[in-house]
Amino acid sequence: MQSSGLVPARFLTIIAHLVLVIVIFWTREENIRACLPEDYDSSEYDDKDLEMLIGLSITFVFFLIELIGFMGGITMFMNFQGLLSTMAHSAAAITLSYFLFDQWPCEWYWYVFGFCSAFPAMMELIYIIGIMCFRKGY
Amino acid sequence: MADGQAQASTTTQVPRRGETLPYASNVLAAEVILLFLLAAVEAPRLFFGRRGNLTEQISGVLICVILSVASVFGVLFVLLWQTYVLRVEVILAAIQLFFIGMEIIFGIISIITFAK
Repeated sequence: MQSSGLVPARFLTIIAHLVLVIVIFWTREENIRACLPEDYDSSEYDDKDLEMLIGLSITFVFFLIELIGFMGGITMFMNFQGLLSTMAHSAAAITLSYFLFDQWPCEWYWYVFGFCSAFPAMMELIYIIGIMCFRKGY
Repeated sequence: MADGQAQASTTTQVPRRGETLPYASNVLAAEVILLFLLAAVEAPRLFFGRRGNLTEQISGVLICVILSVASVFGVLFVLLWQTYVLRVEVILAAIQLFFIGMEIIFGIISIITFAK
């Protein structure tokens, strides 16, 4: 069997995205301050902080879904899902690097969340349900 | 193999850290040598683990598990006992420890399976 290189690429992009999300989780102060007006009070800060916290926590849940599907072998060798996952997570890794170093405002995170975390995780869930419950793919 | 890839990124950062962080005189060389030692332990560990798993013999996987215990100390060095531990390194070393732990568990399970 010829190893196609898609599996390690997918793994590396997932781990890179995960590492960036963890770093953003630890240093989300600067990003929150970037999206508040000059004179903000602590209740506005806490609202935005809660938003970011919820977004990042749901991102971790999506990572769990994707890692269970990938590392558990369920969708490891399905090329379409692998390609989708690799493209989404590499785009997320690049975008989140800019998010971190250029201190983007916190609302822009939701775009990354939508396209690069939620979308592959939903596709993964559909594939997992399809394989486990409806015996697709084998 | 997963933690080998995670560790390669730490090794490639060595020149930048030597330039930008203030190290005491001989410490940087000692840390770099230790990092290369960790890589030198990981390479035969991965080789023996992969070969032992594919040929379904105990000897390869046993050497892999023994070398994994040594690798755990190397990764603990990166995580805790370095002079400057960067935040990214904490995360990467934690992921690496998780994978080594999984590999030790699955190695022991496969040794038990192959022995039958």
